[in-house]
Amino acid sequence: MSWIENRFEEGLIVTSLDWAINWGRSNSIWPMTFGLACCAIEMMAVGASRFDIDRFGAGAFRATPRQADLMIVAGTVNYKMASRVRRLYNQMPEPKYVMAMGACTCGGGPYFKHGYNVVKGVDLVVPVDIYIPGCPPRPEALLEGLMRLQDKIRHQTRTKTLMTKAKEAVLT
Amino acid sequence: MLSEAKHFGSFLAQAAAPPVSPYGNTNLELVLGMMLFIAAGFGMVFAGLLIGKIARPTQPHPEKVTPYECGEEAVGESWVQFDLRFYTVALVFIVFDVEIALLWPWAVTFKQMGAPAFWAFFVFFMLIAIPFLYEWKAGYLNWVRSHSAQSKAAGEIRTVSRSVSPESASNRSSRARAAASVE
Repeated sequence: MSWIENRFEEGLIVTSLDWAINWGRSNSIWPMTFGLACCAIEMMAVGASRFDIDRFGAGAFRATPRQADLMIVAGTVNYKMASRVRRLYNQMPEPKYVMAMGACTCGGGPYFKHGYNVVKGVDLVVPVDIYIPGCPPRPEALLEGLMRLQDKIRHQTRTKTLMTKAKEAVLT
Repeated sequence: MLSEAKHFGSFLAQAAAPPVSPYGNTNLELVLGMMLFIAAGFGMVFAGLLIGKIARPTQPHPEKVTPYECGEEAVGESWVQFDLRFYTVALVFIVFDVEIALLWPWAVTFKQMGAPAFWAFFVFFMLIAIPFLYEWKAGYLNWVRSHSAQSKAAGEIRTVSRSVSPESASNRSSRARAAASVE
């Protein structure tokens, strides 16, 4: 939570700042180098020249959570890995986003019934922003997910929330 | 701003001393310009820090300040004992590193430089080659050191010191011990 967030009503300055910050954030989403299973192969294809995630400013795969904005959970998350995923998520600086890539991370996928060691969806471990179905998803699907995440970032605002307004109205 | 500074400078110049140049006291103008630059530099840095402070989200978490960032809990600590043999390896590496760095330009211009350069570098090369040969013989290049080679080299040092300086027995033994401890 930044100082400016949830503090001012909508106005020229805050909305302009919103626009500028969202423009910067949505066009420089740096993902973390983090492949867990077969979906990571598709993620690598997205990083390579044929699909080229760099067109969206998201090609700088960082090898450390400290420099990453986006965690693409690419692959099956088992219980042993879940605590690591959570720790890496905790180590990422705000603003941070999570993409659940593939059926396994969306909800267990093919391991839903008999996968005794598989987490039934990575949203049980970290808050997920975008779900990308597929087993594995096509690279285009990952790019689509990235574009939807960009949309999501572009609609973020730092103006006062309705909840805060309601609380103030009740208090005064 | 600049024109004001110029005015101010020319006014000072007229008041205090004859003008240095028809354009007023250029030194003062220079100082003012530099101070302007410094102030603007500081201003930009602090403005950036202030805007960042206002706009960035701050959500501290104990795991954000942990030194290890691979998702694993760090095991053990970094204050481990380091094998002293790496020290010799590092020294030998530096010797060769410097040698290559200095020999390279010499080798490139070898034909133009002629005999003096050759002899100069011959001396330089020997200064490095002789200790290197000693090191080789003493077994410092072996990872698992041969005890016999070392004691042999140490014995040679002892015999050399003995032959160079015939002193009293106690003195000699202490010198030998010193040589051995140098090893």
